[in-house]
Amino acid sequence: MAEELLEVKDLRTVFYSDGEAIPAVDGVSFGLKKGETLGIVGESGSGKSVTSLSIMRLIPSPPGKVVGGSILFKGQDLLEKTDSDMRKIRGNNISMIFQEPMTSLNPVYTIGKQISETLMLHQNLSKKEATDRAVEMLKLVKIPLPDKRIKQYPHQLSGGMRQRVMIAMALSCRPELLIADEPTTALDVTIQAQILEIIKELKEKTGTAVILITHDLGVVAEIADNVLVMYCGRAVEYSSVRNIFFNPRHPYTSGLLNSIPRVEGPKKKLQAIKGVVPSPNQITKGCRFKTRCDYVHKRCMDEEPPLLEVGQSLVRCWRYCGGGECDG
Amino acid sequence: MADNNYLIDIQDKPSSSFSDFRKRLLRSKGAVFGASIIILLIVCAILAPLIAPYGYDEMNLPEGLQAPSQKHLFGTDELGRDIFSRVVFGSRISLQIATIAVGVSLIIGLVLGALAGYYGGIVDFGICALTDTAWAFPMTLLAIAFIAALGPGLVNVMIAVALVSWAGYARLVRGQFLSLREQEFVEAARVLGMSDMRIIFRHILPNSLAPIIVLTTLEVPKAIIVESSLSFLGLGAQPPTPSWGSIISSGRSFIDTAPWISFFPGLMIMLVVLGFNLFGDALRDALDPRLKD
Repeated sequence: MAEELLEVKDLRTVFYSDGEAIPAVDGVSFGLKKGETLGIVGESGSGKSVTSLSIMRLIPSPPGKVVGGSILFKGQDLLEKTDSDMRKIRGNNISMIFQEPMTSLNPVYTIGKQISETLMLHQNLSKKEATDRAVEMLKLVKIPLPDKRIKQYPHQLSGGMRQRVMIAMALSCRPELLIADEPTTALDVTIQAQILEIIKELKEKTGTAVILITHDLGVVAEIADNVLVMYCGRAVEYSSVRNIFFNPRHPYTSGLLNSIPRVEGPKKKLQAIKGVVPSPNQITKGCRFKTRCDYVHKRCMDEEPPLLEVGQSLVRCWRYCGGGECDG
Repeated sequence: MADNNYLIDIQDKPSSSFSDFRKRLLRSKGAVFGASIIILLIVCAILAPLIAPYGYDEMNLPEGLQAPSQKHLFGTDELGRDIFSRVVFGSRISLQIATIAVGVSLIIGLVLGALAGYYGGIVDFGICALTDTAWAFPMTLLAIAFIAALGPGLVNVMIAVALVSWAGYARLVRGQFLSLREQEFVEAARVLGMSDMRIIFRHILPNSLAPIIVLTTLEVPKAIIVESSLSFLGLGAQPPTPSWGSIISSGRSFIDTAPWISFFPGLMIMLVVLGFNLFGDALRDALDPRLKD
């Protein structure tokens, strides 16, 4: 096993609203080794994106703030870095791509200029070298005729093309970690598959570790090694991708899996998880999933379960607590 | 994956948006008229010594107060100075005001507006309070107050004009930044490790240039009017410097016997202001993507 690249321990990020601290991410821990892929899964509002922005130290402040925990990247705590050190890490060691490729590129510059700007900023390349490297990157993300494409403006490219450019830009400095925040959500299915294929290939070629944030379990099955399921700011299940799909433990995880429509087999009614994600300050005691859980019982109402070790998974549910005797 | 051929639609010309823009601009008669006046003004200012038949302070008392004729195209004033020559040299003053004062106010407004819009919060609050205060005063009145403090003179007029007209830019730029800073490409720039200053000036500002250019063309005539007003009141250019405002003012006592003294510089002010306004309006239409057809 390779060394630990990123270790997030007990991360707590809150947003202040009307003097009240609302936890968006509450005590989340996970680790990532070199070249590994971690999928972070959850519904909208579960704290996936806030987790990734916390790692980048880009939580808008005010109103947001990382109030606890540590984020060790190659053994150094990112939360203790100065702003200018952090700027050197962003784009160079840790990079990120977003959900919306249509607006993620600056409309007034050619894509070649945008890719080479990052290279010139972080790697001290000359303009010529940076442009050559930009062409090379575009080739890597399978953009045809890269010499011509670099002279084009974003509005001349399709959504899939732009997302490729974003990936090229994010990976141009060969970062050790790429955070992909719903990289395929805004694209149609065939392009989604291509983009995932590219991320997968580049990961193997460059050894970049990837954190993939998504609500699409199909995407996770495709490329993740481990999966962290988040609900309402909490990690509810953390396990290998095999375990998640073949042996889901948390009622929320199985709920998510059941709510994927099946094409093959007899037609069944789609099983949705009842209700909606409560806002983080709505549930102050007990399990956060209690309002939507099929297995809810008395203990869930008052006490929040800790992350329990069940087999090779970590699960936050009282059901795995041998007759309710354990105390976290 | 050999499936990328579906997207080979590459044009060899990277973008034809500028020629589109030029075509749209030139389609407007107002723009052509306005641009001609502006170009004429610039040519006059640069080539003043060649165009003017006499020096701007060349006195010739026997030929005082002559009506326009072939010898004196716009007539002469009470000291026999050629009004045409004075008006031609006066264009230099107007153009100086237009470039320097408007340039300085543009820079002040741009920086303050950018900081307010980008950082928001307390920075925004402070800058907005300042901007609104400056905005609340009538331009000319505030300029007179500045001149009263600084003393009359052309340089002080420029300072005064710059100090009274930056608020419009600050508001405009702030508004642009407020909407642009939420765009994902700004977030992307941050993620790629760019500093705030780089994001402000290299990524957001170029995206808000169009309305700034339009406002600038509309601010130039205002600056010219304020300068002329101040010179008319004797607070700006001092004699014998031929500012259009001061020429009008000097013709005031002869308005019934020699109206041409005041008429021609007044006509020039009107034409130049009209030219800039027409050009600015057409520019706004040409740059507005919603009006593209």
